[in-house]
Amino acid sequence: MQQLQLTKKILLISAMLLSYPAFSADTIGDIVEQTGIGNIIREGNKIPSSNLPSINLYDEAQTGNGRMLIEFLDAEELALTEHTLVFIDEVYYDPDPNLSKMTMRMAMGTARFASGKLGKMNKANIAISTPTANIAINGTDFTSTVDELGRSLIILLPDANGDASGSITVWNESGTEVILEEAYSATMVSTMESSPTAPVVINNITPNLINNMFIVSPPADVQQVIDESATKSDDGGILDVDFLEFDGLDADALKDSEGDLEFTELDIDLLDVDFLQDLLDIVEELDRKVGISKTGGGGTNTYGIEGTAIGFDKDTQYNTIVDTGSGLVTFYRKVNGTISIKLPIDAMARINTQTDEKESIIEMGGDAAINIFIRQTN
Amino acid sequence: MPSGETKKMKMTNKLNLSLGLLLTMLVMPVLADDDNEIFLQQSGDTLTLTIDQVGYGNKFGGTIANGSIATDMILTGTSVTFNLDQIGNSNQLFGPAIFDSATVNMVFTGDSNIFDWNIGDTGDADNTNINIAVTGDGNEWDYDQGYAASANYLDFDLTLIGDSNEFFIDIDSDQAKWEMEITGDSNNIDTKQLDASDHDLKVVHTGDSINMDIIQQSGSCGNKTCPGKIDLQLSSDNATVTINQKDTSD
Repeated sequence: MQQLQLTKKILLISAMLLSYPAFSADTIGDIVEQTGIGNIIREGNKIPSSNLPSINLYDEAQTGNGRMLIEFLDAEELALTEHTLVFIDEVYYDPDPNLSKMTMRMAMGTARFASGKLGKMNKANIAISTPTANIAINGTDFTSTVDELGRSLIILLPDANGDASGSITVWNESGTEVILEEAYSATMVSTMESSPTAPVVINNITPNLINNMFIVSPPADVQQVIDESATKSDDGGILDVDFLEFDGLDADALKDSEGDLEFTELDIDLLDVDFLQDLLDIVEELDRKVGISKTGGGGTNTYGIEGTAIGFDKDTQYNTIVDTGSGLVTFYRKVNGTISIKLPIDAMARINTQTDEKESIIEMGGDAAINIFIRQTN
Repeated sequence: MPSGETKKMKMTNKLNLSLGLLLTMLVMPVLADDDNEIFLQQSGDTLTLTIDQVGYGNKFGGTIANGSIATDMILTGTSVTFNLDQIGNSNQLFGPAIFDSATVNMVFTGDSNIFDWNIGDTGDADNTNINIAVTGDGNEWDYDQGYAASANYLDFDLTLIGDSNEFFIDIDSDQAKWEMEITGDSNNIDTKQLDASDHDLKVVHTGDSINMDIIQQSGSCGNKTCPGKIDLQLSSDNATVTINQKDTSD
């Protein structure tokens, strides 16, 4: 009888031990450092990050006036600065690294992600996104800064030797892919539909500054210096660094690539049209025909559109949008009535628009196989 | 004395029975020498009419003379649901319809069919939802919405797959949402959106040698007050499109 009871106890304990991993199966990482205010939001409940809770699947990591450093099971590191929100959507570790998977969304603020070193996950299976961009990584350390409009600045960081820590590919629904391969190279994405800008290398950022930006918990001796200098102002201490005023944004990363900025539907200014065009100008420019070409970062890309400017043209009153992602050119005119014409980029077309005030001719692709005659009259 | 509702049900049942008999004949074309014909004269609300017409040279109208439809079918009522599948070549559908809050789903598969339909012939035809899918070549279509009466809030979707079709579609309806998707070559499309406000036309065309004329006319309301909207997407090696967006007719 006693032997039977002992056997039962052993079975019970064994069952409890065996069931333990099931309870902890969702744990995918830990908060290893934290300062200030932060929370892990789990099933609608806020768990203060100061409690250093484990990180589970579907957690939301959120900082207020504080920071947080999360380490995942494969030693991937996710550092959040102040006022940052990250959704941890999917993290799955399989004995076969090729089957492991990680999906995260950087929703707001500045976060730094460094891929793991333990080989539990194939880097190709890590997918990170922002509201406006998707990021695929390859052995990489990078930051993403997302503002309240969802615009995203993504910067590839260097490794210990100052070389690029790998490469990242940034793409979105525009169909355009941008690959960052140099240290401190960056791309900016404004909307999910607009193309990421061409890569630019930000020169005025030092490795120390970058590292400092993402220090969550400085070493004790450094912390002491910080504390001592806390009463001083503008002494260059780490606390004087305003991380939300990220220096990288002060430099106009897009300065050299303004020609590449896409004119999208969001750029259409419906109030910019001229309802009363000057008839004298019309007579003078009746035969106007202007060749337009667009200079891109990689050289000259000519779409062969003549007679109207890409973007808004005050003469024709057309908004012309070249969307390389969809392969379409849109001619949009809203004055008295709305005309929207979408043609393939490689189309050969002629659009003749006559209004009460003037006539304009837009041509693309050479000899016109598509002839569109528009007469807009009152 | 039967109630009005009972009467209506009986009427509907009779109609269904008649159509059932007709359809029985229609699905046995090998037994009949003549073309299959449906002559419809229906008046009543909340009608649900579903017809599958399969075969060659079928006709759907009011009366026939000399082998062709002489007068139109008549379909009058509110809250009508009309589902028609016509499969075959050289079929004809002629008719006026007068109905508010109607839903019409039509699928035509075949070549050389003729379609001539007026909706709102002599009475209101508001809030109609028309969905038509045509697959075939050499079809001739003449469709008028709001032919002689008020026909507001039309939602009209046309999907055409085929070559050498002729479509003439006039829509006289305020706040009409008119969309067509055309795939094929050598089609000729004429459409007018006449004297009404808030015209909205969307065309997606893939194919060569299309000839398309679009007139969007806001009438007395004026282009500035009631501007129309045309959204045209073309993928073609050879196309001619004429758009006339104006206040009144020439």
